[in-house]
Amino acid sequence: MFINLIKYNLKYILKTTSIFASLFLISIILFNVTGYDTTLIFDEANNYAVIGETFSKPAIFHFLHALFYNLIYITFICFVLITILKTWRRFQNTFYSDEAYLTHTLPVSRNTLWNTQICSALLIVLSVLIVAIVGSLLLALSRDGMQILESLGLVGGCTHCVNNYYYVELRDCGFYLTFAFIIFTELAFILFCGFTGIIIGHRFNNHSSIWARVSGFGIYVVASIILLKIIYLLSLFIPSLRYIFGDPAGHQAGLYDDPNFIITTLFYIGIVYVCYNLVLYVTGRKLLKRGINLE
Amino acid sequence: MPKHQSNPIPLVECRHLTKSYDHKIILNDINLTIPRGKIIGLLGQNGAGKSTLIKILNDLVTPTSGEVLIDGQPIGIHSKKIISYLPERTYLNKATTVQESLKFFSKFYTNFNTEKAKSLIHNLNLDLTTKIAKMSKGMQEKLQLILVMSREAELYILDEPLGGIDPATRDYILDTILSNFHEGASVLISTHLISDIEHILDEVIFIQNGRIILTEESDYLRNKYHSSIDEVFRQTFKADINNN
Repeated sequence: MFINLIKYNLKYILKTTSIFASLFLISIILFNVTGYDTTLIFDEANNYAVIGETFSKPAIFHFLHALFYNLIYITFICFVLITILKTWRRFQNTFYSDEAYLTHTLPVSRNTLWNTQICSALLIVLSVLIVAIVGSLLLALSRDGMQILESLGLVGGCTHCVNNYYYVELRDCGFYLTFAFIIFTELAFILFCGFTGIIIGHRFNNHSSIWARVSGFGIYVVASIILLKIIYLLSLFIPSLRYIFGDPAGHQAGLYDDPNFIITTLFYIGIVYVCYNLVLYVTGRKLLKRGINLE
Repeated sequence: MPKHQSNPIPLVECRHLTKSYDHKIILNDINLTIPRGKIIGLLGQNGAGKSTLIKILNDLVTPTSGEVLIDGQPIGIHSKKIISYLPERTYLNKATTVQESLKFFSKFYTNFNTEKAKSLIHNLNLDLTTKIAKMSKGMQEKLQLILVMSREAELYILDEPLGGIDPATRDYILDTILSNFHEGASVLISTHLISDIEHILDEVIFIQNGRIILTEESDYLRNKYHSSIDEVFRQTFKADINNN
């Protein structure tokens, strides 16, 4: 039953989000195709690409290239936003709307229902991460795409062309893992804030949807402020974290560009998010255990 | 010996059940026992507390105080296995098809009789591939009733199954209920349209302002007052209507 409930949740959410994921990936492919005016030959051993022959292309390609460049950002933002909204909507429908009359009368415990929502949310976050990774890999196939990755800080150093040598300096493997870890934990945190907000909101007999929004947003803001405080406290014991809070030595030492510094910082922030997620999970479970009141 | 006669534990037992919202008392110290193998009418005016009581039995509302035992156990997985509930509203996922709804019920309810459901759906001339969103509200309600009555449950709880429905559909609904409930099971029907259902009721429960004011066998009431249940209901609630 647990798996079936997760399957129903995923089916509902992914039906819509997959459209935006496809648009995002198609935009990248078309961006690569329309911007392809040189042949890139990758030399993996030396970690660079050599630019081959350059050929001219019609002006419409330049227009389309710019269009798809913007579409990449738009579709990705839409994909993430729609995923978050759909997941919250699914939770709201399953627990508090007309559909809740079926959900809460299924022969499963409320804990199981809550756990399925949490697992579904985590799988949805994983799907966002997979789409982002596939998108990044597709972008890495073209020079312009690589520049987008550089602007996002996903490839380091100088991704530029010197004497037909196109340098692509990949970051440390630990950087990518930590980056994926923080995206995963933070997105999960945003979803859990929404879930907890919805549960708290529906404990009020009147204006429950307004209370849900206020509670969810409130939890997010308060938790973000506390996160800064926690990182500040950690920086008292971990010197490298001190530079986040404007220590000029950080700039002088070039720590902001240091992959190890970034990895350490992201890792600690990710750990805080994991703790937050655990707290929200237990809070939701306890609140639901007190019972619900459907209108 | 029928199953319901062999089991001495009452199907439903409510003890000092109270529910209030913001200091407004909706149910006030309800003590109630629902026996096995009976069709029971939960009768009361709008806002009397019928739906709240039903929602508590189905774990959709949490009581402020008191205790509810279903088949001798607190409300939980066991009670949800043996209760088949038809709410006032349509709870089916509108994006799914009839077939998918059948699949959903058969996956989650071990006592769901898919063949019976398919046969009833066939009698309605309803295509299994039809999307629920494309069906009329009346058809959605009929489908929901079929799904609920196709479970081999011990207690069927039907909240206002006749509300806002034309007379022909009422006949269909009553016929579906009577011909399909599981042998030995009880049926609790909440309604204020008493004349339509009184001929099928074994017992009646009158609820008024959150209190149970009468629990009696239908035949006993008819004989005692020499009138229909509908008339008894009107007389009982007359004072309340006048006061309001």
